[in-house]
Parts: sequence; C-alpha cells; structure tokens
Amino acid sequence: MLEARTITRTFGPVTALDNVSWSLRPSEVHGLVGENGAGKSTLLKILSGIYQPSSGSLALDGKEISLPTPESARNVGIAVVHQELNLIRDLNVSENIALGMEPTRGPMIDRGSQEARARDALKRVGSSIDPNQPVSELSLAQQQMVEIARALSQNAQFLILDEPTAVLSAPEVEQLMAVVENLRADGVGVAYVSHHLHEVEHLADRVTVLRDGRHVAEFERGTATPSAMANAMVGRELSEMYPTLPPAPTGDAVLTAREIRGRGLFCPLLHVRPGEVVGIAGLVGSGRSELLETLAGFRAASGQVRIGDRIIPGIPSERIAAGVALVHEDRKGTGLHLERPISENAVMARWSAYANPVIQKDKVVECAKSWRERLGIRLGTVNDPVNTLSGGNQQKVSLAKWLETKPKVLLLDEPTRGVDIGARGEIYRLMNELAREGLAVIVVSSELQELLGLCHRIHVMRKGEIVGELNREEMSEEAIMRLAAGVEVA
Amino acid sequence: MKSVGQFVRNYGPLVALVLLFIVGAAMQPEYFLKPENIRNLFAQNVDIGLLAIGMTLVIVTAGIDLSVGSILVLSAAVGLEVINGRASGGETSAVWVGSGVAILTGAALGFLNGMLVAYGRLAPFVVTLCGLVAYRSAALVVGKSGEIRSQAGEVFPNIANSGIELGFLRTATGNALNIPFSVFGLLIVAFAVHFALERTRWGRYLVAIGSNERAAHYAALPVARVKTSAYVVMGVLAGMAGLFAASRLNSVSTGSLGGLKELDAIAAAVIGGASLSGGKGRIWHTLIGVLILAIINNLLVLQNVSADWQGLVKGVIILLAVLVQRERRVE
Repeated sequence: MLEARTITRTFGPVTALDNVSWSLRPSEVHGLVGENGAGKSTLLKILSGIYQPSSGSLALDGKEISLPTPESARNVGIAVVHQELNLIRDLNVSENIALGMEPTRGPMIDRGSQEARARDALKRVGSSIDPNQPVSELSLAQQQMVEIARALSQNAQFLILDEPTAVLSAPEVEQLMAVVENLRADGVGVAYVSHHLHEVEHLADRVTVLRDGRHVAEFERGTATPSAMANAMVGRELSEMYPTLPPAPTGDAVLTAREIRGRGLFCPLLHVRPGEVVGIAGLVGSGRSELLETLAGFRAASGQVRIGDRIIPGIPSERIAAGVALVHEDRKGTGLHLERPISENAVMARWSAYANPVIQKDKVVECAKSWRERLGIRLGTVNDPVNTLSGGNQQKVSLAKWLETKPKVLLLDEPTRGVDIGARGEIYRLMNELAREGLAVIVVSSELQELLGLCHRIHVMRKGEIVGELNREEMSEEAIMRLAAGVEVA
Repeated sequence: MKSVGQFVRNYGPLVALVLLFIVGAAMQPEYFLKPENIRNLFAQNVDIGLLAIGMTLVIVTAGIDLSVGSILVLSAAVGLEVINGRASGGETSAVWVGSGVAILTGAALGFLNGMLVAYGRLAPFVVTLCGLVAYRSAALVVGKSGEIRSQAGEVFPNIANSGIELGFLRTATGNALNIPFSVFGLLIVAFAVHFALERTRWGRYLVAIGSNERAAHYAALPVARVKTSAYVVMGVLAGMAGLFAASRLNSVSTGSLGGLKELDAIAAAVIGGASLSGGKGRIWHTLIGVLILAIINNLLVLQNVSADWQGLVKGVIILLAVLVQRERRVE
C-alpha cells in the first residue's frame, strides 16, 4: 500500500496541501477529485518525486520512503501519466516507451527488443499503434495510450492518471476505462484524477475529495454520487455560486457571425444580443477557442461578422475597434505580460489613450486604480508585476485590460481556469453585472455546471462545428454531453 | 503517408548538395571537378566539419555554443606552447603530448561551459558568449598577442598534411592524389558521432532533452549530466579542430585563428536541418551542410567573385535553406 501521511506543502506564502493523508492499495482504483487549485496536482507531484513535502511523509507497505527524484519514484513502482502529456515528439513510440530504461547490447540500444517491449506494453492497453511511428504523428488519445503503456513497461505497481480523459472522445474514454479495469484486475493500484465525476463514480472503489489543499471527504463505492462529490468539492450547494440570471434580452443582436469557415472550423450562425450571456460547450479540441479567436480576428476565416449594422473585416485591430474583446484562456502565454506592472497590463490593449506620444504615467496608474475598485482586484500596489497576484486576481487584470477597450461584445475563454473558488464566485458576479449593464458575453468553458449557471443559451461544438443550440429550458449536462460527444439521442 | 515536407526535411540538404555540385561542374568543368579540388573541399574544411558535428549535438539539446572558435584557438595555442617547450627533447614525443594537451584543453573548456549551462542554469547563449570573448583573450595572453611559431617543424605539420596516396586518382600533374589523415579523422569522427547520436542511449537522451526537457526530467533521465556531456564533446572536437588548423599552418596566430568559425558551424548545422529550438539534427545532414558551404565558397572563388560578396551570398543561402525546411505550423 502506498501512503501519504499528513503531508503539507507550501509554496512561499501559499499552502497548496494542508495536512493531507491519502492511500492507494493494490487492485484498487482510488478517485481523487477537487476543483482547480484544490491541491490534486501537488499531491501527485509529491507522489511522483517531483515535489518534496514541506512536512509529513510517504510510506510503502508501512515502511517510510522518500522520493527525492522522479527516478526514485519509478524505482519503487510508481508511474505517473501527467495531464500535460510528457512524450518526446522527436522520438518514436518505442523509444518513448523505453525512455530512461533502454535495453542495450554493448554500447548500442537494442532496437529489436526495445520494439518488442513496446509492442507488449501496447498490447496490454489494447492498442494497435505502430511502435515505429513518430510520436508527433499520433492523436492525443494515442499519445495517452503510449504514456500508459510506458508506465506498464516499467512494471508500475501504482499508476497515477492525472485527468486522463480530458482530451478523449466518448469511445476513447470507454476504451480507457476498460484498460483501467483490466489493470485493477492485474493487481495495479490506480489513482484516478478527473473532473468527470461520472467516470469517477463508475470506476472508483474509493474517492477522496480535496478542497483548498485539505482533505474534506472520502466516499466508498456506492456513496460517491456525482452530486455528493460536487457538493464536497465546492463546499456549499452549487446553486449558491451563481447569481440570478437576468431575463433573456430580446431585440437586435450586437454581434452576428454567418457562415464562418476557417481551418477545421464551421459556424453557420452565431449571434448575441446586448445583455445576453451565450455559452460555448464542447470537448477539448472541439474548436471552441478557435471560434473565439476567429471572432476576434486572430484566425483567417471566410464568412461575415457583423457588429451592430457594420460588417467588420477579420483583422484584430478592426474587430477591437468595433467593440470585440477576447480574454484569453492562457494568461501566461497570450493573456498578460506577467513580468510587467499591473498598471501597464491594464492599459496594454489601449495604449493610444494613455500616450500622446509620451506615456502619461499618472493616467495609467489612475486607470489601474479605478479597475481595482471596480473589479475588486486584491493587490499590493498597481506597480507590482502581475505575477505577484493569485490566479483569480490575474484573471481580473485580464478582464480589466479588455474592459478598458470599452467592448460591446466580451469573449471569455475559460474565465475561471486556475482560479480559486472564492474568486470564481466574484468573476461570476462580475459577468452577471456586465450583462445587466448591456454587455454581450460569449463564454467558453469546460465546466458544464458553470455554463448551466451562467448562460441564457448554450451552443455545443463538435469537431470544429456548432452542432446544436440549447436554451434555458433545454440545457442540462446530459444534453450538452450528448451533443458534444455526438451520441445519437435514444 | 510521406509528405512533401517530410521528404524535404529528410533529403532536402542532399538534393541541394547534388544540385550545387552539378552547377559547379557545369560552370567550371575543368577546375571544379579536378580531384585535387574535390580533395581540398574536404581538407580545407576539416576544422569546420569537426566544429559543426559538435555544434549539432549542442543544438540538438536546444543549446548553442558561440565559444567554439575561441576554444579552438586557445586549445591550439596551449598545445603548441607545450610542443615548443618540449621540442628540444624530441619532436615526435612533444607533438604527441602537445596534441593530448590541446584536446584536453578543449574538453576542459567545454566542461566549464556545460557545467554553467546544465548545473548553473544559465542560458547557453550567454555562457558561451562570455566564453567567446574570454577564451580568445586567454589565447592572446598565451601567445603574447601574436603568432606562436611551431618549433617542431619536422613533425607537427604532418598531422594535417601527410596522408595516404591514392594511386588510382591522379592530380593534373600526374602525381598520385594525397588524401590527408585529417580528412579520414573527420570522417571517422562523423561516423562515430552519428552512430552515438542515433543508436545509443546517450544520443537518444540528447534528443529527448532538446525536444522536451521537462518531460525528460520526469522520465528520470540524467538531464544535467547529458547536457554537460554535449558541451564536453563539443570542446574535444574544437580542440581537435584547433590541432588540425595549427598543424596546417605550422603556427597559431592567436588573434585570428578560429575567428567567426562558430558561425560557420552553426550555419552548417542549420542548413542540415537542425532546429535551434532543439530535438532535431543529424550528423550526416550537418556534414552535407558543411559541404554546401564549402562548395559555395569554392565556386565564388573560382568565379573570381570578390570576397566582399561572399558573406552576402552565404547569408541568402542559409536563409533559403531555413525557409525551405521550415515546419508547417501545426494548427
């Protein structure tokens, strides 16, 4: 049995794990659930030798062990499939599976037995991938299988799967769950981390719920219903999270997109009215972010985007000037300049108003301060770099940056990713207020509850196409998933 | 299955080399195709070839080494000083010892670079930029800011110049063609390193680290050690290159020897398809890159193009090579 005993892990002032005890038995699937930032990833990284606990210990079969490196974790039989897949794109499948444990003959890698080993491991996960194929040619689902095969080829006794189905389609999920069940039958202990509570309910013998770095609940098979888990994750009734939706506005749309065709993207008709919140649902990779980027003019596409009564060409500066603002999902990569002060970030999309041509520092600071008031951004001073803020406050800076452009249509891509529960509620309230003030909002989210709580209408995408629209009465998790996965309605 | 892009990446450099060769043969049939001209293409580029092979390893790890020209000159200077100090006691033994010292000097400097990059977590560009200026300066100190003349004139030049006479190839004057040992040295090194990169764990780890360092770390690979080793091999090869270059001239001019050679080495690797963001690069492709650069130089000289123009032409050719091999962006 693998045990984590009263583990605490801090990062500077932040406590990511607070006195958490957890265990994994052989022949068991142990579900691990929690909101973003609840501490799941930190726990996994401690179990895989990437992070060290600040206090507390690990034990294997009752004996205390320490895992100072990933190698030491592997040596005691722990294998991890990380959420962000960690294959080497420039190596082929068999090289990846053997990575770090290559069979050799003299100084050379023994390619024959390397390939045979890969073939064996792939067979155990029921995959027919060619071991000689370059990893860069594989689909995400295939890469996932290769990762699991790699773990098995290392004779892992304990397998940790971090969000294994985040990128998979419905049939691929089925296949993965079958693989997990086989592994359990073979005596492997599987830690299964997932946002998809139905999968956890179906697979897990036990479920641990983490919230804000603490162990808040443990369920046995049978009692682990999705709603019980969800309530434990959030710590209150879900319905309280979301402010009351104003009545759906009627009247003319402020944004209308017709016959949008881009690379792998098709959107016959999408419109949004002032004061309306429209959700976009779909699996990862279904083209949701691409659709938003197309609307904001960052991707080439044919078709027509009309703001008010003008057709606006697909150029970012034109779209921004016409009142379209896109708040990116990836604050690090595309959203913010993390090393730069909060004040600069707040005016980053509208420098022209603050420089003529010399930058008017006071006005920039003034602007940032007014957004701090308006959005309730918790910060030291507006001249601190953005990376000193928590995820939720960074997201608010992101919002400020785009609200500063005085948009008519706000496009939000995963607005609560990496944002803690408290700040989430604030962001929901803010979206609600903005809509009440007449802003049109289009929001992409992977969290169905969020869409159900926030939106007047939801469009569902599959493989780059909008495949359905659900209004307030029609929308439910099941309805969305049916459309998103392409399962025929029975 | 095999797309045009893949074909270009696999065989593009080779096709370019063949085309250039044909162009050369058509433009200057009587000079370009002479056996001694072909021989010189190799013999005069042994040092760049060695540097480019090492550079490919470093680039595969997503690194860069700007200091190789300076390592070259410092290794050669130190080696030659040792030879001169011992020459009175017998040239042959002095040359053996001095050669060993030169290569060890290269290894030590490469080790220093590698440690700073891998364990000191400094950017390779910055570390080796410092090396570029510092090692050159050290060479000037060793050579008292001038030329070091070899005092082993009987033996030392043999390293680069003596070779095997191939009876079946004749020079224009009817003599048997002499292929210097240095050319064989280059080919042996190329073969060995190619083999190591493609077929050994060490080589695959270089690729894995350059392709995705975090994943390599998670896979429990000895990232820092392997990275350091790439710079050490680079240093050894730079030391060898220094030895050959010094032997060819039987002297080391500490101010100029090896100057800007790092750029030729990087250019050859890039023409051969190595990606500066790591994970991609093959030795035989890099050697083709070296030959492409060599033939361009050769043709420009044969055509009496002024040296002023040569850099311009090279710059354009390298840009073209990179453009053609640019990976289509994956959406």
